[in-house]
Amino acid sequence: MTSLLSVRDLRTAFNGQTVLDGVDFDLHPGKTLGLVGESGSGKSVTALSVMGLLDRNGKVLPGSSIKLEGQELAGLSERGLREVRGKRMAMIFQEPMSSLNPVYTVGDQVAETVRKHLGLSRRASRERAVELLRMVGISAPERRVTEYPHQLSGGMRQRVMIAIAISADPALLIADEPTTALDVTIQGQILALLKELQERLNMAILMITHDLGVVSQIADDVAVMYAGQIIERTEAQRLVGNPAHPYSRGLLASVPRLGMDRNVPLPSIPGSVPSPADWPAGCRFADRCEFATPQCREKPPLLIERWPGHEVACDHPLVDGVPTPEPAREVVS
Amino acid sequence: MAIEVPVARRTSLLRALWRHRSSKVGLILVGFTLFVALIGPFLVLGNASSDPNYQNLGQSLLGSSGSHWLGTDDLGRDELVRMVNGARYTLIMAVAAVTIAAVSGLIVGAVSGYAGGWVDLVIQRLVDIILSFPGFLLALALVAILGTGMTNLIIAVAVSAFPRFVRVTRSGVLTVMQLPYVEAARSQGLPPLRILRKHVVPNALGALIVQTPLEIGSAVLTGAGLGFLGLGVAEPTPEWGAMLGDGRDLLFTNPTLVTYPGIAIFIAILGFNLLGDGIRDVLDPRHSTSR
Repeated sequence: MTSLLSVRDLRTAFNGQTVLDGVDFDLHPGKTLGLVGESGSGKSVTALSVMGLLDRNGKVLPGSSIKLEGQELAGLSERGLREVRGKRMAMIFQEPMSSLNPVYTVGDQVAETVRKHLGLSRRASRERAVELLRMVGISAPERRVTEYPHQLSGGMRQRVMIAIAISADPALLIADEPTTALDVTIQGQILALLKELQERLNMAILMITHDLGVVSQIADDVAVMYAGQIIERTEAQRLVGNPAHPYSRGLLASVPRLGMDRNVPLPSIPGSVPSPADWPAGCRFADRCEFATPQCREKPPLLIERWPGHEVACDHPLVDGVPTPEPAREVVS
Repeated sequence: MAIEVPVARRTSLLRALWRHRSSKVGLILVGFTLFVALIGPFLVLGNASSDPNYQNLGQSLLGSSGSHWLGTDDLGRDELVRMVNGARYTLIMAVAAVTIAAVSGLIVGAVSGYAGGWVDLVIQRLVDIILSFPGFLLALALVAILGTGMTNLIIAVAVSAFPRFVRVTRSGVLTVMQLPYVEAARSQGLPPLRILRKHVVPNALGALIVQTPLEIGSAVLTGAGLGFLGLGVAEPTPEWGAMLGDGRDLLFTNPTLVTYPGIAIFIAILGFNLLGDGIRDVLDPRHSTSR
């Protein structure tokens, strides 16, 4: 299957400090890839690098490759990127409360993107805006188009953001923690909406989240990020059932579940993600890993396919929660 | 069962200002000044001395009377007629100068904040240079270079008010650019100028709107100050500052000749300042100081 988005050796630096250190992944048409990790692991920077939305201080380093439908985006001019953004790839953000401009009506803002990308007349884009709002499940869209963002709830605003994002029928939708700021029932509705739109429009979704619950609900595949690298990549269901990297296992274990013994403290991963300036020479997770050996701290593990369709960057990948004893470095990937 | 959703009533800015105590006074004073400037000259028509430049040396330096409500000056010109006609010069000068300063400051400040980098650096250092002169001194120097007259007066006052508008707009733009909807607009592939015009500037205008009436107040003062020094509009134009300056020599014998123009200048400046404070309170209730 040819991939829609193919990222190879993506390196991004802020003010000369590398924060993404060789990220590879593929996203296939109509599929969802969950990009999971703690704050500071580099997942949002990955999304912004793909969109070309890094601020002035951020730079995608030469040698990185970001291919959308075969077209290289890394190193593309700002003008070239503008033709791609919104049209072939779109993005929704974490804060629906402030992602809409307070001084224009909802209809104006949806119609603006429609007019830009589809070249419709003012009137036709207005009609298309109503249609888009209906598609994202907003009731009475004819009336809603005349309302201002402050008159809508958070969930509604996120629906409007989704309507804007899908207005030009993009092949790729990047969703950067789209449900984090919403309460749980609304989260479920938004995820269901994304799923429904994905099927209808055959759109690929890159879902950035720290919430493994979201991943298991919506993603086909998952890539777990840690300290600027992908450390494990496999199918979503497999990761949730059989995490091979100690970090992935730690993430899963720290999700509270119903029926847990309330007297036992929720497991947590000690410490925090090392900052890019302090990345250790060996495995970047070694300092927080309960299974780390002295060798782990010397040589960085490579992302290797240990099992069919399951890659992990760990020299002692877990099988049923138990680390494999000897380093399997000699395995040819 | 349908639940009635309460809809917040949109109150107009004018209504909100009227409710606010100090801006109510400001509105009254500014409204009075505007009224005098627009209608006043027609109200004082009717006899020979209705011309602000009509001289009658036989009737010079009269006190208040039925035929000359505020008396006459040393050339026998009716003081009230001159005051009422002078309102236009003062207001046109101040409003025109501040409009030019605000519009150009808005454009330059927005470009400076949005472009960043060396463009921002160069613009801000130029603004620093202008700001390093006291406003009045700069206006004075410009009038000295350009010469007197209404147009030059407007240019001089505009230049001295301009850098403050640049600063205010730039800081607003920088704040708004951090907001997610600007990033969202970029993610939709909208071109930069459109983002600046539609998404950044309208949301960065608040501080500029507050600044404008305050600047009009200080422009009235600067204009009157230059007029007082004889550097404003040419004689015999009945500009308030110039009238104040003319009356200076007769301060001890006929103090009313400086008092009336002084009160007029005072009322105009106080009105615009109170209005500016009120607009600030109304637009941003969090910074409200007094009600």
